[in-house]
Amino acid sequence: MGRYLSRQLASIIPTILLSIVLNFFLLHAAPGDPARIMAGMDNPNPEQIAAIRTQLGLDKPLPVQFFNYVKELAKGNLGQSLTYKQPVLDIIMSRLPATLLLTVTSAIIALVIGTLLGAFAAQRAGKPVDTALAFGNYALFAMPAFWLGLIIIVIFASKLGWFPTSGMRNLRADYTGWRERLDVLHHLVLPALTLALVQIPVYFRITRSSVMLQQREDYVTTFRATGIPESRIFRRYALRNALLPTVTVFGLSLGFVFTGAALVEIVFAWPGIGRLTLDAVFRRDYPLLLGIYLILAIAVSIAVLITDLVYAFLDPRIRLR
Amino acid sequence: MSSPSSKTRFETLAPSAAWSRRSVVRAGFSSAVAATIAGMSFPKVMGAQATPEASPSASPAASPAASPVAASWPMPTVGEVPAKTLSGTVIVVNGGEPKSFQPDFQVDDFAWPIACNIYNTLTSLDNSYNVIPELATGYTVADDGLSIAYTLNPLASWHDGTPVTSLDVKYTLEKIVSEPTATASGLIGAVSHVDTPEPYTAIVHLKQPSASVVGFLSWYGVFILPAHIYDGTDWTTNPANLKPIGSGPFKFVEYKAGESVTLEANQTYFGDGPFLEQLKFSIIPDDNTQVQALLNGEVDFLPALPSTQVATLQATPGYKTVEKTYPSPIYFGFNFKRENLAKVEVRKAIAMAVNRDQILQTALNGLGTTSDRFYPAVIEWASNPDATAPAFDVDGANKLLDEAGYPKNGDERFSLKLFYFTGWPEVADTCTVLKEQFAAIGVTLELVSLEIGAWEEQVRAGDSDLAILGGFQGPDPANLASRVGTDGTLNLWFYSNTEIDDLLKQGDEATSQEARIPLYFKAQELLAQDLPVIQLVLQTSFPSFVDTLSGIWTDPDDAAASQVGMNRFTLTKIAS
Repeated sequence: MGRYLSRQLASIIPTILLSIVLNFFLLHAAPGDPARIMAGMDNPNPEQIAAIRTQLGLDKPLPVQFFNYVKELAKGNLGQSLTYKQPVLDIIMSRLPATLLLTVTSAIIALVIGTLLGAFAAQRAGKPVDTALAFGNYALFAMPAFWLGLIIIVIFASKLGWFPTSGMRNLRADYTGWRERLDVLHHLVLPALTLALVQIPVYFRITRSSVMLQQREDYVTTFRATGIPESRIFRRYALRNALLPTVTVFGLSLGFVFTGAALVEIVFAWPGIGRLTLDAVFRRDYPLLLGIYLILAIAVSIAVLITDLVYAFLDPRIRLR
Repeated sequence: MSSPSSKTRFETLAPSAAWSRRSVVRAGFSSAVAATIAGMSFPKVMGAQATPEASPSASPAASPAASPVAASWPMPTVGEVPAKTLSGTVIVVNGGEPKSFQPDFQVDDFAWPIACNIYNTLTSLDNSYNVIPELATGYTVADDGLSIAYTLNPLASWHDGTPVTSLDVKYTLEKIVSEPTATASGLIGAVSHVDTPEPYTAIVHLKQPSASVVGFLSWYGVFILPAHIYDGTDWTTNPANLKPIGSGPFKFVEYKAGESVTLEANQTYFGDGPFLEQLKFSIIPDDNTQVQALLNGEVDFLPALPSTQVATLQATPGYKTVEKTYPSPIYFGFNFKRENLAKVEVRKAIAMAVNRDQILQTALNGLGTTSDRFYPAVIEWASNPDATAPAFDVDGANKLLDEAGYPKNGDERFSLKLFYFTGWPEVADTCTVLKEQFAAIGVTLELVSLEIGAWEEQVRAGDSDLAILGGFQGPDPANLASRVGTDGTLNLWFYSNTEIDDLLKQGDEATSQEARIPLYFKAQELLAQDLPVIQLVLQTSFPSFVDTLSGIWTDPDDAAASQVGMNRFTLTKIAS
């Protein structure tokens, strides 16, 4: 297990280094000029644009800019945002809690509901209830998150009035302490529901097909022949084996919890990193984008590592190979 | 904040040599009544603000002890800050998050509405784009047009209690013109320096006469900043950028990143208002969500209702929707590097293929007005009603193109690429309508849609044949120079007419509105002959709010519309 762990760890470092290089050059290769964008469309002037370019160091050759970036990065400095004029790390950290609250909550809801429904449908494969679930699943899968979000707002906030429309806090109330936390949870329900709904189909399909696959395996047939009750075979053996692919998907989805919710964050005015990323893209805020992408690369790598470890723990064949 | 060091700073800012100029300035004052820029000097001092002669009692905010200025200058006697009665909170939708609360160093449209309530400009623009008093109670332009004297309101104080003086004006304006990256550095580029003969008199000196300076000093990126906090620091990273100290009707309380900004009433505000205990900005990027939040009572004011929702909200009791037309026409321009488009007959024929009514009805749902002028009619005095693009005439256009040597080959004469940017549905629809309209004259339009940064880069590189855009063309016709002037930064057309350049330059240097009008009218006439750009429509914007609010800056039925500047909630009240 120790050797397995160190081998996995060693593979992360080149991945992250490569992503740093790729991110930097791909971003700068994309069209659009931050200086022009910052000067605005109403009344820019050439001196202003040139001065902004110099001020931001964008007038230097790209390799020099890259060298400076890497040099600062080595010191642990992610740089300063072009538009916010604040350290990139501070800006990211100010949005991280909101994003994690939303994405982790919804990932867990989707995992639990998707898996349960998938297993439920697999046991009833071909029956009307399975067909109905599969249909609902396809419908959800086809829905864009922002559209679904708006429908959910119209139903649950506007028509029924059960939940607030958007945001993270009730601006009229100024709650503090535990009341504030409850208020945040109240605001969390609709965006988390939306984000969970669009992720459920993934878990549903994987669990359903994986359970069905397990149920056709020889060992299940053997168990059946020995007279073990079907429910026991399912719970103790088939389901457990079927959950391995789900672990992979969940692990990978955790890698994207940092940035994966941009559209839902926009619709629900949730102050997270996804929105920050889109905004930074439109403004070509290179340092901020590079910072977000670096954190994303690290997060995905760590998520993959943890997934591998959990996998190895669950399945001895992997760690012994 | 008014430590002994303020004194030192004050002396570096305003060397004693300046005092000897006082007499010169006074002479300028007395004779300046006749010379008003663009007819925009104030008929009277506004509101309850006191003139230096008015009242013997001193304002607490301007007490000599708090003022470094007082040590050097005799304090004028001033009136008292109007009494405040406060109630309630108003929540305003902000479509994105502010990047900084220092409103002068960079363009930031999502900080602007907030800054308008924390800071003051010398003068501001009312709902009809008239220049009205704000921090300055009045201004006069010298006869030679080379200086503008602003009289500051002596009751004005910073939110930390320090009085607002001419030194703050000097710091701010000189900083802006010395920093090419500043938003307004080009707009007020004619400013050379500011003299501070008295605490409440700031003389803005110009390199050459420039009539547009007064308008630009009322608009964007020209908020007066506190010199005692900013002078000698990096104004892009000063800690006050995150915790601003202004002089406006509301004080900064808190920013929750990406979420909301909370302001509270400034109880020592020098003018009438504020009447609200708190003013909050709720950051909601999606415009459909904005409407739902308004309908669900979570916000009170929406600066721009999506056009698709106008009918719904107008039919809903409890809300008021007003119309606001910005001088921001949607227009397209021709790439003069293309052989065919460089010919005026071809541009004219294409202009004649445009049916503006159809664009207005189909692409804008009828929510706007057509515009065939060369400067938007919203700024009435500067817009020449006789200089118009040719009228819609398909047969005439076909005839012109036949004669110009572009016969129809089958159904097509030639094809053009029209570049537009994403995120503006009405413009995308306009392009689709144009495609149909141009097909009638045998011009095949290929629509190219790009994200705005990429759009700008490719259009500037000359990749497009036609490009469509919008943008604010106010507050002054001097703005035309950037759009059609030879070196204009928004002249994306490679178009140059030195006669127009000269007229625009003379128009800016003329000191009276009467003298300016014929120059700008003539320039528009020439544009109507050259047709480098073709205006299509002016989109109406629909600010909407709960109908218990009064004193809204953009409500034409409300007196506040002519008393406070854009985005200011200074006079807003909630009916109980």
